[in-house]
Amino acid sequence: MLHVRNLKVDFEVDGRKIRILHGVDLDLEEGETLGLVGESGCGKSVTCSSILRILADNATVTGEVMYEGTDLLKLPASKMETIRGKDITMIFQDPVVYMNPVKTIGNQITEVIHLHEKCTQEEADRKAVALLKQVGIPHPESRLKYYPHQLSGGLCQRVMIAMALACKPKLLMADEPTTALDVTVQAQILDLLRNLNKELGMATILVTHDLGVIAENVKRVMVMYAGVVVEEGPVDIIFKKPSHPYTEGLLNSLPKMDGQEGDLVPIEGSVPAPDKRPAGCCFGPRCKYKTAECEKGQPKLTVINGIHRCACFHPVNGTFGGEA
Amino acid sequence: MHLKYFLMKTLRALLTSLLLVVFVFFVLGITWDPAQSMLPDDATEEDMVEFRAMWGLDKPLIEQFWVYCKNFVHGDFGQSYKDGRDVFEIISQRLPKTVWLMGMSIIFSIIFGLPLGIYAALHRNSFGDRFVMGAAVFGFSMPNFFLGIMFILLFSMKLHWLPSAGSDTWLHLLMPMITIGLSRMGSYARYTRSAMLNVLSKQYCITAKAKGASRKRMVYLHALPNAAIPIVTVIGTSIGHMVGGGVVIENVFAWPGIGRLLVTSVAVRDLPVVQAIVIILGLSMVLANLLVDFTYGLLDPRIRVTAGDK
Repeated sequence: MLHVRNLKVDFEVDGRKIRILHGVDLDLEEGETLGLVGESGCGKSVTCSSILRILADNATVTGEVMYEGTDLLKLPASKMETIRGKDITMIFQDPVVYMNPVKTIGNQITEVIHLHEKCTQEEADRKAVALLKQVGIPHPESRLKYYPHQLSGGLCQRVMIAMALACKPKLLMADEPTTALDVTVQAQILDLLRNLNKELGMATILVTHDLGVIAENVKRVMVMYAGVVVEEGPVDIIFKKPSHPYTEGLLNSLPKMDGQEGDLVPIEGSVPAPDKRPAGCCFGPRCKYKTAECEKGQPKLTVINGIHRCACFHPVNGTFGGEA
Repeated sequence: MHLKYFLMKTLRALLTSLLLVVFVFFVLGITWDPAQSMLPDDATEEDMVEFRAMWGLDKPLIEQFWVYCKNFVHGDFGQSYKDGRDVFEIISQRLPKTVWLMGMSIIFSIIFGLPLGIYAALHRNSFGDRFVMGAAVFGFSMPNFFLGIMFILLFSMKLHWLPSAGSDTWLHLLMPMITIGLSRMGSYARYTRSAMLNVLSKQYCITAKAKGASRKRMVYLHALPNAAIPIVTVIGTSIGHMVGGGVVIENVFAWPGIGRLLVTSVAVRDLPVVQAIVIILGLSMVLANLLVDFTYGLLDPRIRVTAGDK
């Protein structure tokens, strides 16, 4: 359904072009769930935003975003508007600041409906109430008149989800949907997203830096680092046998759930700034398996086994989940 | 809840007005002896006593104030010391002229200033943006009496297109209106630009875009209502200032408004007229602030609720 090829994004800052995404490939079939994981600033959100073409004006996006046979990047702005909010929708990290503070939530939900469907205000209101009920908001009729500041963060995220579902999208991109919420609310929102995904059969891209969220909610995962996809494959394989040193490092930095004791191992260093990337493999400076070969260039994604792919000259064969 | 917000604001405005009247009355009453300033230099002590008795100035200030307040409530501002005419009548002849001039110049500056500011924000750092902002700085840095005199030189003396004094026709209105309007327009444009830029960088604009709203819809239906709050503040305070701020321009263009009356009344030390005008200027400021508060309440649900709950 969605095939992204060689997606590159440059931001122009103070007259300089800074590359944020270095050629991302992404495939998604109908109804599939995909996780995008990585540290802050690795390009997860930018990937989603560039698929929907909602990046700021100083961004240039190149490559191909084939959605059901059309390249979204080549669509004229007016055509793109008919796809946003209808076929492809997105929810964001901090729901409260992503809602317009001077409009009621009823108004904000019915706006999506009016933008994409011809219907009367009463019909739109009725749909909004049904949507609020669907996302688990109590007393939906009276909530329509509320303003965002009168709702909690969790309820706001539910409203955002209701807005995103209003026109029965085929793809929902959730950009760290629970990062700004309380832990207890996080679980509720993720449950809601998982159930909706099953119920409505829409494809979902879940962006997060939380590996636990990935393990529970998606089947396939893409690990990103510094604007590059470094590893991709089924969750159960990658979490047991990561091939990329970065994925291995991420998993090492998590507490083990099988009762073994041991120190958490952090990955030394931090993600390079987009304008200070190392020559060669982008993970090189932090990698403990680095050799001279790694400085030659950025390794390509190559198949390890079936649909498990990894971008590394020296894939590790770490084992997690009991046997180690 | 909403009613409470509006009620509180009104009460506060009434209290401010009362303080204003008290302050103006006592300060002018203490510092100004009309008997000395109105009577000729060779007036005798008896003349002064007689003058004070005639206008009730021999009574204690508190008693005078009480009488003043009683009359004030009945719309009686006293009589002019100069010609004995009713102050209320004098002012009601002049005030509409000032309100007309100021109202038109505010409308003029809103009509041009807001769209220019929005244009500049949407074309940030373009030539158009820089030009508009440069012109705006020029507009509000130029002293408006100077601009007014330049206009008279050009359009009245040289080209003979427009009359330089009076208020009889639309043509008379044109120059003073534009003179006052230009500086206001400049500051409206700048405030609108920065308010729009601030709001356009907010995340809810991204949400609007992600919903499938067109750029136009995002700018005018999502961003503008949020940007309206700071813009209304600026316009509101300038409305308050304008009634008093016209003093200079009314004199440059011989506009028979309240500003000009103030200058002539101060010149002849006509206390009741000056007193009434100062109070009216103050009240217009209070009223403008009240209107701003009301508009806030209508524009921003957060202010309405939080302030009303207190």
